[in-house]
Amino acid sequence: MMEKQWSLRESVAALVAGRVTSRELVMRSLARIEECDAAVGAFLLVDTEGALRAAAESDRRWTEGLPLSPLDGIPFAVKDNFCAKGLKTTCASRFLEDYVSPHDATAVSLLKGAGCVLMGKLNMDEFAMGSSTRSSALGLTRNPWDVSRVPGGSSGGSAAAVAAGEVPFALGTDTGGSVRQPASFCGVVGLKPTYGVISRYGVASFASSMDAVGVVTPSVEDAALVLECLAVRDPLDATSRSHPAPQFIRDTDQGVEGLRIGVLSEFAEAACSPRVQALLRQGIDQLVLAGAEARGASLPRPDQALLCYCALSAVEAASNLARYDGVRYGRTANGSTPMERASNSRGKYFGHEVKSRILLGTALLTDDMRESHYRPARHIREQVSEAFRALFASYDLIIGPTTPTGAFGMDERLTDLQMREMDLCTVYANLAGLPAITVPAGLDENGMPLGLQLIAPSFREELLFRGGRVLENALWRKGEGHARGL
Amino acid sequence: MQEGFETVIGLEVHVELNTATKIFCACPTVFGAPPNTLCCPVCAGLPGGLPSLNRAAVEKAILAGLALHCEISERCLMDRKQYFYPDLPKAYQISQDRDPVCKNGYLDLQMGEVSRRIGITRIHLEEDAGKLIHTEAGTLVDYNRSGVPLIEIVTEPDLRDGAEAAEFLRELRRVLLACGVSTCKMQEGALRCDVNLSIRPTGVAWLGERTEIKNLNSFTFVEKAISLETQRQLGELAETGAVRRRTVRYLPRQGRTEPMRKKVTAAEYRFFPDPDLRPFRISPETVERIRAELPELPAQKRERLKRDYGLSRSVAEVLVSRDGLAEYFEETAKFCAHPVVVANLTINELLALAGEEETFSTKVRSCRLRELAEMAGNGEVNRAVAKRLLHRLTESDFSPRAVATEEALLQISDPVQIGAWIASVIREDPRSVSDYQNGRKNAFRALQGKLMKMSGGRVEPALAERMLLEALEKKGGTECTNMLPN
Repeated sequence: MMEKQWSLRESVAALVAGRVTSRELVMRSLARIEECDAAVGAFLLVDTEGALRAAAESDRRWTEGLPLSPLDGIPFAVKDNFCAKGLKTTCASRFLEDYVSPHDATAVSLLKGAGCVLMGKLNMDEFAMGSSTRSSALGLTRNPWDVSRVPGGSSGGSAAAVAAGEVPFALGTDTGGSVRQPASFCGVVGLKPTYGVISRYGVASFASSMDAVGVVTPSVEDAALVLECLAVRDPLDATSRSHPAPQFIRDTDQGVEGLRIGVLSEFAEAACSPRVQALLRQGIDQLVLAGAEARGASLPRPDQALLCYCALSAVEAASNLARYDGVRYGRTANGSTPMERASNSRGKYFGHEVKSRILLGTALLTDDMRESHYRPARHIREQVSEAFRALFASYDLIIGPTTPTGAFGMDERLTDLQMREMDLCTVYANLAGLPAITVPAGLDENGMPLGLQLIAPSFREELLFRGGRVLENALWRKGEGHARGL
Repeated sequence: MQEGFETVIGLEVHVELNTATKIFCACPTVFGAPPNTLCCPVCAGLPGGLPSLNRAAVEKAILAGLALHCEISERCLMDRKQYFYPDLPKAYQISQDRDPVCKNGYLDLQMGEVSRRIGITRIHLEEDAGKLIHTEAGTLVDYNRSGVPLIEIVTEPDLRDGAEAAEFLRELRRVLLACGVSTCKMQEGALRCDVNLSIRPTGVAWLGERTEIKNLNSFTFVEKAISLETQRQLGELAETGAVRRRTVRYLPRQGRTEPMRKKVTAAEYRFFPDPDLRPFRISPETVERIRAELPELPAQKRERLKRDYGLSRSVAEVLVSRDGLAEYFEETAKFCAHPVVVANLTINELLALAGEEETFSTKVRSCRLRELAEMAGNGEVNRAVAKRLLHRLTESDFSPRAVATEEALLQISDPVQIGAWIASVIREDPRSVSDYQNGRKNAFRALQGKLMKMSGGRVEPALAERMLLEALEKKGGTECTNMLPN
């Protein structure tokens, strides 16, 4: 199933040098999808016609010597909660199974504007709620490293597609770890930028205050390349911010000498498998070898942070998903009044996970639970943000595990709590709006990839790339892990 | 009103702001476009649509707040008010719950001799919903109105009857029109009113249980609905011993208010801060800049008209009551030696002649009215002639002085000429003369009318009346011809 895939950087170099055309890259991608997507199931929709048309236009631009950007002609794919004009946007839900979007998400239009070629839409947990992609109502996605295992989620399709070499990069969304966890499970790089750096416009919302568009790539440098293209303030997203220093590639090779690294070892010991803890130690060693200082750092209230995330994300999700009433679009069930029709449609076409979060989120804003649960959760969130601000007075980067374990089996039944704990290491960055990256660093006892996570202060993505590059070079590129991929 | 009881009324007035675009997207706010032609992913609630706040809407809300003597909040927040209705695309309305733009204002009313200060509790910004259109085939929804900016003005329960409520609304409308924040066209739904009403024994401080009369779309309806609902509540109180809190609707054709069948529970709107919009600050500088834009308000205008033109309070009130009337008056009166005459001609004649929709200056050019008022004020034409000329001026444009001269309409104050006419009148109608002398005072009016007719209405009325009276008192016709004025 494996053949050496080009990284994004390599594809770009080949395009620029004229060694390959966009059409050839697209054909490669299509061939790869043809070859392995029956087993992996990353794609919900492949837009062959649209991709070939866009590739032809890109090749014409290269011939005329007027490419739109260095990425002109590069194939990519997006999680199916990104709107792309004329294509279905299903959010992997029966409810939106036939919904065709009339507009492009800002992230999609920025990439199209840079000349990138949209290959199609990727599977996910329904409305991005889940950590395995098994809550998708529209298909199963499997881990390319071992198809009996989950790819993680909710951006499982994005991680699997990149890991399988179907596309050089993919976009996902990360609300509590939904880009980083699957990237870690699939042995690829997953970046969640600072909240507001990539526009959310045109991405179906899950929890607006934590949703971040994220990038899945084969390498750290590739992630920097894509982020440069997407870190643009968007007037259509009121929470979008202009990045103070949006040049990322320049600094990726600067190393970590002199950087102060905070280590979440206490936290890792409490929550993670011995294998993950060992990997974390290796990571720290490598950073120290490269000239960084590492010291232990503790995080406030790790138990409460996860609950806080569950509560706040459910409240926002219940509200954001209220628009799916079947009045204007989406599936409609029968009923004698508009209210009854809406409620039947939602009952029939939303999956279990989605319904349970909507119920939780609705309950949390009722008069009695508002004071007992919702307000305390908001308070904890502020404390978490405050604690990180304090940490970053003494540290430049925080390192920790991405996931407590490696990918679990497709048929393994996790309790709700175990499932939620998949987000244990990742929710902090979402609660505090901080940039974080996962870099593949080793393998677990089953031979499945494991990632290490770096968290940086707001708008300091370049620190993630510098640290990530060191880890990647030391632990992944030179190690056995990389070669043992699919 | 039943003896011993009083009505307590508070209003909630929804006013559409006349911004060029909607409050959270760039769709135009034009009224009357074909259904669903002015909407986009944001205002139609499509997946991925995100709001971004229209600054112009905030500034207009501030302007309205300043005109109503409100405090402007420094820190504002948009909240989601969640409920399902087919005309509400997101199933929540973006509104303001706890931090409205403006609070604690007032509006002064003049009810005859009595001044009343009506408290404004708050003014908050929100988005309008779409509109349901009921057809035989079923109910359709038009989302053109969805997202049109609204301010909701909430008063204290300071109003005591329908007339007061209607006058409050009229004065509020004048204030808002003066500020230029809304068209205030009730027939287009740009100004809509809900009435909260309760009854209580006169003199107590507590409030009775209230009902809400929804969606009244004319001032007359507000006035009528209030008196009908007061009666209904008194009836309910007499019958059941208590008034139940509920929503009622006004049925203008049947001349009654009727409780709505569906019982309205204490609304559970599950308000929470909209995570798609950041809290925003309104700086004192912004407030001062907008305050400097405040136009002259109706109350100030009335005072100035009284002071500058020597008008009575009631005349000033009438001039300010009708859109554009005071401006027309001032344009005319500014360089006229007889502003009171201008005011009287405008109010007593022109107001009746100009249709609802017409502007006064297109009816009669102000330079013509000024010329006419000068002539009337100087005694060159009398009142009757001035009135006739003004009527003619509404049909065609001409110089009143030229026409009055040409058609010999100038007032005649020459006692010799008047005496001659009186002599003829007395000669020609000996019967009325003898009737008068026999005590039938009506006969004087007949003679007076004949004199007017004979002179073509030109005699100076007061002088002619006095001379006619004297002539009749002297009894006998022959002496009269030689009568000279004393």
